[in-house]
Amino acid sequence: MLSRLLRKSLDDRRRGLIGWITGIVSLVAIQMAVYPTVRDSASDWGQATESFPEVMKDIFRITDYTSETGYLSTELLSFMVPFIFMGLGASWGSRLVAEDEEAGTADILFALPLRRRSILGARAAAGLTALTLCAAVFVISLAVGARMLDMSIPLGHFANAGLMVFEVGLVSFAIAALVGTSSGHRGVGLGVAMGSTIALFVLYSLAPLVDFFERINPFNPMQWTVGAESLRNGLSVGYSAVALMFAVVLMAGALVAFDRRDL
Amino acid sequence: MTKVPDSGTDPLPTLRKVVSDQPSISVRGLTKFYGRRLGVEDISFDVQPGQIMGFLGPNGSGKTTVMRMLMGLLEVTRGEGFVLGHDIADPSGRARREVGYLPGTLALYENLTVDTYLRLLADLRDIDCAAAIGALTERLQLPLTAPIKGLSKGNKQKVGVVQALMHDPKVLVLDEPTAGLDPIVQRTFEEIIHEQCDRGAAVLLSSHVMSEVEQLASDVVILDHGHLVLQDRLDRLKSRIERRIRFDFAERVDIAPFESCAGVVGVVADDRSIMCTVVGSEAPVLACASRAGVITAQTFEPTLDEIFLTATGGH
Repeated sequence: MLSRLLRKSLDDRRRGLIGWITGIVSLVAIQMAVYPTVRDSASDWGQATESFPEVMKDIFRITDYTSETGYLSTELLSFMVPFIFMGLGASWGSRLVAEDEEAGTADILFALPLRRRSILGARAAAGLTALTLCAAVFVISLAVGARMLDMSIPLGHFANAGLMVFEVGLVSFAIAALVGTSSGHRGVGLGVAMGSTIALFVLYSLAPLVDFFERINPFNPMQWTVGAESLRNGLSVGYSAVALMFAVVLMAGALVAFDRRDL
Repeated sequence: MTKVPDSGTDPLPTLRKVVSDQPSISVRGLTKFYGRRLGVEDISFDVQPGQIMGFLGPNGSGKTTVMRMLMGLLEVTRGEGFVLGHDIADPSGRARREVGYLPGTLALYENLTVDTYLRLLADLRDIDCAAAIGALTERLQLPLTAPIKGLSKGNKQKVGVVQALMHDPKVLVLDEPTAGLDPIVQRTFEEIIHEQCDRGAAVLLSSHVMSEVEQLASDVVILDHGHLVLQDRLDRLKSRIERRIRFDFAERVDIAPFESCAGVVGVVADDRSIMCTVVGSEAPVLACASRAGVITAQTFEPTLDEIFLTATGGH
């Protein structure tokens, strides 16, 4: 019966989900379309990127820009797609139950003979389905684009990149879920999740430049995800596990907080 | 324990008869604080199977707080509550399985039709309510295929009533159930509630419409400023509250015997009639009037409004 709630959550947000998927596919298509230009004049692009200030190259982790992996890592995975997944995760996480509370529909829903945690679980499953779907679409877009451009990157590396952006979304989702379910306000959940993940991203980006940020970087969820540079380096099992654990702990916190709260 | 006998002997074949030897709702010392702010304190009452309990009080007196605690929407600060023997604090929701709840501020999923909304709730209850949904919507003249977004306030309220009743609950917790309903539908609603009561369902009904509570309820609980100020059978309450009796005589009579009569707290004479204000038993004043040669007597029962105003000090 809770699958009915999961289906309803996905149905309710079908249009929004199509929007996110369209955005991801469009972004990949546009960046892929530019790559032949970079590849065909690699020496010019190589000189151009070499001339970038070191600070900028450090912040955006620009290395080997003209290679297939270097190009896609810089243009898609250094910040653009992670930011999309931050937004996606925060949007779904903040709505888990706060949307019902704000609309007043929670009274009838939570007066049903169901455990609160079951309802929260069904909603979380819908959010994770959306994140998984978007990550899968991202991987497929990369794979299709790579095939069209005769790139030699193995499919497994794209899958690693997909897992990485999924984890970025998951971290954002879990923060939004914790704050949204604790406060009962979607806007608060969304704002805190976006604000904190962007702040974490800025800390991660500036880590090569600031000693203190570098020291705390191993504890930064953005280092566990974006910092793994999984398209270039392959899957970091350790970082992935830590990111998943972090999300699980936040979700458990959301469950505990919500179970005991007045609606 | 609550038992559900074979419905073959039920005079209302579509409804299960509820047989129980324990209160359907029982609260003891129920207390709720929102931080330091008092919601309700030390509320105790029972609602028996087949009983309709009117739940009254001024705005902010704590009626909705008690109902929301019963439904597990609010944490209980102190005290305890049981619905059909299940602890309301039990997170499993067992206490709510056989409860129909209509919240005071009704909000529905506006993007669904009436039918899909009701079927969604039935699915989440994991029961088939198709027949009950059909019967109730037909009786309340609610269009099943209409989008909820386009419904009038009254029709949305009907959806709320149907979702509270469609699973044939043993307990009904209804917070201002007739808000927005037209008089004809209100009448139908009252019939339905009486049927629920006849089959043994316990009903806790809050309403600002005193005449409605007076029409439906056999008992009342009155809250004020978060405290229970009055709880009794409605007829007993009426007998305890001041009421007036008018006596007509063939000629002017002496009012002195009436003024000294037990239970009489006020006498007003007017030509050949006397209006007595009485508390408690009417027997002494009736005997007095009989001795004085009364021709006709007319009793003005206190309305629930008057009881309510007396109990809450008139605010």
